[in-house]
Amino acid sequence: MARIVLTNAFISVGGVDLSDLVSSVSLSSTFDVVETTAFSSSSTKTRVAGLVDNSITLEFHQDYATGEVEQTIYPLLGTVATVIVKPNGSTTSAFNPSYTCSAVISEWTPLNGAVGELASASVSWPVTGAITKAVV
Amino acid sequence: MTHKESHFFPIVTESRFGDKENQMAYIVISDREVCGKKKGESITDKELVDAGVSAQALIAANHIKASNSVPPSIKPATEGVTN
Repeated sequence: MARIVLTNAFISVGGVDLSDLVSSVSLSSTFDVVETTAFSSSSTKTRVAGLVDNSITLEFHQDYATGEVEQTIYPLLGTVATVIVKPNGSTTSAFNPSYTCSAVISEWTPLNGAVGELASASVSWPVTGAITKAVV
Repeated sequence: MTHKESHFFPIVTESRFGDKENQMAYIVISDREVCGKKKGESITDKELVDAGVSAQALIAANHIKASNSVPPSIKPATEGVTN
């Protein structure tokens, strides 16, 4: 398997393909680490994995036109939306797995940027439930 | 003492339109793909639900609109039939 430089990642939010307006994507899963150390002769700590906390972080290029970023995300604020990400285009395969999650659209920055900069919106949405990986 | 007896007959109505009656359809009006459908293509309520997508949010965002182009067909009654 070759290394991959991200150039064509697929990002769908609420059923809408917004890939060409996203410049950064990060899907993260972090398990709580629960200590289980008890008296023993090993004098080492023991641990197990606890609850998993999933989240997705995206950097959008802002666009207020009809059907673009602002119009797509704004109605989803405060709701749970399906987010699908794939490393390379929309066709799912073993080498281009699809990750689907239900993200809580908990934050949005309708206007962000300094003079001369590209208007952008950076969000980090917590996921409710699991992330589902598919390869077909 | 009189004995009152009540009978309840459940009324079962069967739709002549079948599943289509409950299946709302939408047309993609956005330049962006919606659940893999391109502009002008039709998408059903069931497809949106299966994808975990809110039709209301998509309508609010001008991605889809309700379609009334495929109403269930009703055959006109035949006139002048005599026995």
